[in-house]
Amino acid sequence: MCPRKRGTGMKLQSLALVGTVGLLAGSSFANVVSTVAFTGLAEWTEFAAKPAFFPAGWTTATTSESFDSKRSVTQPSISGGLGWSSWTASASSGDVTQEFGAMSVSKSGPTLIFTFSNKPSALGGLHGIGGDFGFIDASGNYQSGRIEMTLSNGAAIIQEFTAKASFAGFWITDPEVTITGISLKPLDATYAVSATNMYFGYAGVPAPGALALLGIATVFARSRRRAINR
Amino acid sequence: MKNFAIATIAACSLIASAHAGYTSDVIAFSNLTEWQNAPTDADINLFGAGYAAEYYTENFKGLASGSSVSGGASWAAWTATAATGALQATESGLYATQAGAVVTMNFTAPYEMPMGGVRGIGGGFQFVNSSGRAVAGKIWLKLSTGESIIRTISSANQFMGFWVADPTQTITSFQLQPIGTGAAYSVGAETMYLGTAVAVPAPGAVALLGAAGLISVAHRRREV
Repeated sequence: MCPRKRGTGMKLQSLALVGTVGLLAGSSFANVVSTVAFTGLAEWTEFAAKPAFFPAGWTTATTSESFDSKRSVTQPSISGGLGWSSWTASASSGDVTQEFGAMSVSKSGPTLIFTFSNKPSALGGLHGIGGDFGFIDASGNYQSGRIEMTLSNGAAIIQEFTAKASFAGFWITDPEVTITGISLKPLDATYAVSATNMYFGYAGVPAPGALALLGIATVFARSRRRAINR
Repeated sequence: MKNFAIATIAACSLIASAHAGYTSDVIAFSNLTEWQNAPTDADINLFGAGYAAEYYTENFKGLASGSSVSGGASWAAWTATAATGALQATESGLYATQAGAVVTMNFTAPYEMPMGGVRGIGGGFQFVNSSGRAVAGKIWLKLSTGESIIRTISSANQFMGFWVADPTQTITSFQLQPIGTGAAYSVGAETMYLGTAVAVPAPGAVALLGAAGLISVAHRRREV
């Protein structure tokens, strides 16, 4: 029987339209950048605020997912998120567990995999991903260790995660490549690999709904200005 | 109902077939020890069977300053340039003479693919101010393969590096770009680490060579 997937009711904690693109400044680089790795959340967030790294006319937005205060559950896959930040967690073998304020594999050894349901599109999608990663022991305590984080496009980072807020993340600036998944492979297999927070980044052409809203706002502002001038 | 069941089975098998994870083509590192150990770490499986890593460490000693500075040897031969200004070899490192200038390192030795050329780069990268003192700042290290890493360098000689695992790719150059407040200082490196993959004979081939040697010795003794 197919396991029942349970939504985690993600809150869009900080959905923020970070910027609108002006110039394609990145095109002047001799080495064409397609994927950028980050070891700090501040740098990852700051990158989103500089939309010049993305194609002209694109906007960027970020949101986050915390696994704190989530109902404990262990099953083959767990899903959550909304729209472009929808995700499904699974393990390379066994179950995944949402407990102790973290999403983790249910035992030590397997790789934790997140897949993203947004369809790759030339108009944009999930271009940024990051998280606070590490390990969870049987008592729910955070443990440090090395993880190989690999994106669906083959870009990877190997890092020692030493504290609950140890961050690793990526932005993909290539407009034709969106992030369809990440895997977190434990290189120290004593404990279960885990994520305590996830950060999602959108880059793309604003959706028609957003454009319509912008249009309405502009029309409203004009009519208001005319009324004041009269 | 039947269609629903089939669809459900298909959906479940999609979930169940969720892979063992994605394959790493280019791997970033923020720690020298991790970078050095990666080629022999069975969990990372960087090169696969039949290859071992060979390293070259560049300390930039005995080099002349100029608009273009070259060094290294064999597969690790390199030439560095700055986007504006020149490069200064200080005996303890190589730095752009102009604050904010991007430094490009090109690897000039010919190579054969697959698995050829410079496959790993890393360094103790940092900023120096006009007095030559190490200062904190943000560096964007960009590979010719398209992968890059942004890191705030808070102290002297902090490591950033990459290994290319994909046999069809190699590193032909990399750039160090100061960003943010780092643009007020000169970017450079105290030490640069390079790595390549060299073919190692398979154990079977070594055993065959050994056996051939023994037979040859025995044959010669008999003839004597």
